[in-house]
Amino acid sequence: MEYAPDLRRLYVYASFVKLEHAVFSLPAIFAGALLGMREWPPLRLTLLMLTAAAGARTVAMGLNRLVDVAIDARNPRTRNRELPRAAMQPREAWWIVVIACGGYVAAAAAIAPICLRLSAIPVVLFFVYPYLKRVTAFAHLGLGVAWSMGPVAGWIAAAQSLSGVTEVAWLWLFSVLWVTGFDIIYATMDEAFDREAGLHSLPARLGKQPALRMAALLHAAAFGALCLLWYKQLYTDISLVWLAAIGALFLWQHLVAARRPEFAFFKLNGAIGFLVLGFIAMGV
Amino acid sequence: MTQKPCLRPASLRGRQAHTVTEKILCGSVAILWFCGATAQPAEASIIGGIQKVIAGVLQPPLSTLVGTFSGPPILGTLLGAVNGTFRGVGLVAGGALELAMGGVAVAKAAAPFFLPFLL
Repeated sequence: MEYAPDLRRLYVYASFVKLEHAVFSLPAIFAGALLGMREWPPLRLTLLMLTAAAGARTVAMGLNRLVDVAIDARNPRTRNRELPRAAMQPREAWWIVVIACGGYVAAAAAIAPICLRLSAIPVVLFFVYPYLKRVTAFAHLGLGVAWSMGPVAGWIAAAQSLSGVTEVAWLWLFSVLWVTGFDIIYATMDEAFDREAGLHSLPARLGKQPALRMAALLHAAAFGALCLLWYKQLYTDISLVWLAAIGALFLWQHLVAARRPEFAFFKLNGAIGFLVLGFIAMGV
Repeated sequence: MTQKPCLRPASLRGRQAHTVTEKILCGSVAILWFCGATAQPAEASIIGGIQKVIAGVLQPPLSTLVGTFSGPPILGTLLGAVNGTFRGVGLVAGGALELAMGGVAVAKAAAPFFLPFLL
């Protein structure tokens, strides 16, 4: 098969940008769009949003990998990633980031002039975030803020204006708290390494259990923000059922977070992302 | 045989030599005392320092937003972010210095009350 090496290369690239992590970002972006439009966006806008979202998250992940390559090479959990094990060259990674950034900006420009004007803000945050763990244990919040641009961007893409943007405030707050919380759970896997490498994270600073309690507190606040969103903007019985399901998944996540952090981080939060989209779809 | 004169203050005679911590503490107090001669009034310095640190922390996001809306697309954001970062670092450093000077003045006023217990 002639194309097999090319396919392998594509697989390496997809693995480099953690394509599967799109389960977190895409539902939230479309949740923001649903909130802004009160209906599913038309096909053209949906495709442009998908392009912009794919580009933005590729930029985010690519920058994160490039900035952290030396750290990843020392960490037993991450030393098999594409850059540390030299499955791809940094130059290739930079090309992926540049092309993805071009796609993202072009899609943003095609959506609306306001989207083009605002398009560099997430990129600045994506660039800053990987450096935060070298400076502060609150780096998780940096990820939360950077990631929360997704639903806001979705809302702006749908509304094509900034007027009334406060409508997305509760969803934005939920996103910040939710992602900050699950990044703390994720960081528990690197507690010992972070300490040894002098990196800052809440698990490295407080210890695993106190950090998990902090994550639970953040998720409780995130759920509170979602309850307020339901009360103020959605308020339908069927969306209340979805809200209850989200609450149950949060609870489950914190029951298993100490023993199975990867399951709690990836599978349950992936499900929560889709439940949030369903919750808003049922409420608008 | 003549006995060597004891150079240690009378209050310390009979005690062990100064520990490293005591020496560092005394040195720091002396430096603070010296620096404090040029310090502003403590309250003004501390309040000004806190204001500058807060303004410095807020500078990068604010400057980024200003650049985004007043400059050309993308470039305005990037220039705003860079400008805000430099100004923010300057403000935080200036604020921290001002806070330290305020702290010096407070330390200078408080030192006579604490030194007898420390030495």
